[in-house]
Parts: sequence; structure tokens; C-alpha cells
Amino acid sequence: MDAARPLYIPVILGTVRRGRLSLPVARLMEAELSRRAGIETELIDITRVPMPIDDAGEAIKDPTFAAQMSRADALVIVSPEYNHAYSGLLKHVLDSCLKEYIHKAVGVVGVSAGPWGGTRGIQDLLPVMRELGLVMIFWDVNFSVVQNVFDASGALRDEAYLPRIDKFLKELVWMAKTLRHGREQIALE
Amino acid sequence: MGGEMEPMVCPSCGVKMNHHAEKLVLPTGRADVVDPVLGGIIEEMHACPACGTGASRRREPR
Repeated sequence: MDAARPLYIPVILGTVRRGRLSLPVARLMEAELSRRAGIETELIDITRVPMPIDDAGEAIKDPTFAAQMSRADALVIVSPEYNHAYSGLLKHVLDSCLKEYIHKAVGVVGVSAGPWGGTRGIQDLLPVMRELGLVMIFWDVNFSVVQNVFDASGALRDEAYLPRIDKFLKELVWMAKTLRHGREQIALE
Repeated sequence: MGGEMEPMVCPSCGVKMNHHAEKLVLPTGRADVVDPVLGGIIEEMHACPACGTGASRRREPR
């Protein structure tokens, strides 16, 4: 493995809802990734991924999103919980790729207005991630009562989230490095 | 499956790629020829050890 090649770990903002409170969460995750040496990141807002809704699956693959997924070593998915599940349009976008994800790491950041921090949406995403070939880490970050976590400018008000994010990203980076080594060096026998 | 195939060569840098995964793709079209044992089409995933480029190809059914 070329250790000098940076890991590319984009953050996917998994909601298109207007006024979404997951946006400051996604920006915070992007900022925390950007501070780490050897990592390149960017925010992928699914609102900006052009997807028709009169078809589905790989037939509607967006070339830019597919290239980002091909390049990625790992993904951070920011997933708000809507009616006890993840957003339908997040699934629509994720389903447009498949081979681009295989044997890559993923961590999910749950967001909710209530007390459970998106845990039900994360649980529902687990079998989807597995079928897409992604490898889920076991640390999550859960933003509960998210309307109280950030101020009106989007700045974090509760510093307790930072060590939780640190634990999450440490595991994600470890998994990304391990899986990159496996993809590139260890043959399927 | 269809026997050993030639290694894939990285389309970006020309290095021999590493075959790291196989995905069973379930057919959606009448013309798809499936592996009679596995019931689908094997798509091989390869990665370049030099530059990290990923590529895939479908394996011929036996």
C-alpha cells in the first residue's frame, strides 16, 4: 500500500429536507475529518446529486457521485431519523452505486429531534450497508435533541460531542486503512 | 465458475490488480446468462496496489 496516498473519506449528508438540522452535524464531521493528517474529505449533499425519481438503481448512476464513491476509502453518513427510519432519498442515492462501495468502511452519524439520536435509523441502515458491500464500524455518533446542540450560526454548543467524534473517527480511519490494505494487497483465494 | 481468468490490469497505471471480492449479481433481464449453481452472475472486484483504482468485470458462467 502506498502509505503516502491520503485516505479519502467524504461525508454524505443524507437528507434533502428544508431546514434540516443535520447540516451543521455534517459540517462538523467534515471539519473534524479535515483536521486529521493524511485524510481528504468533502461534504456530499444528496440534494446536489441529480437523481430522477422515475427510475432507480444503477441505471440512474450519477458520474460525479459514482467517481466519489470509487475514490472513497470510507464514508461518513449523516442520517437523520424520519418516522423511525432513514430518509428514503438517502437510500435512493446509495442504491445508484454498488461495486464502488465494496470492502470499504462506513460509519453512521445519527441525528434526531428526540432523545434517541437516530439509533433506529442506524439500525435500519445496517442490513443495507452489508448488502452494498460496505463494512460498518461499531462506533456511532448520536446527536439527540439536535436543535439544542448547535447555535443559530451552526456552531457546536456542547463540547462533549468532540471526544465521541474522535473515538468514531479513530475507528473509521483504522478500518479504512485496514480495508485499503486488504483490497489492494490480499487476494481472494 | 468459468475457470481462471487473466489478471486485470489497472486502467490508470498499468499495474496488475488485486482480485479482492466477488459479488453475486441477480439477473434482471431475460438475456442474462446465470451461473447454474449460484443462480446469478459473479462480478469480480479488483483494486490496484499502486494507485488504488478500483475496477470490476463479470465472470463468464461455466
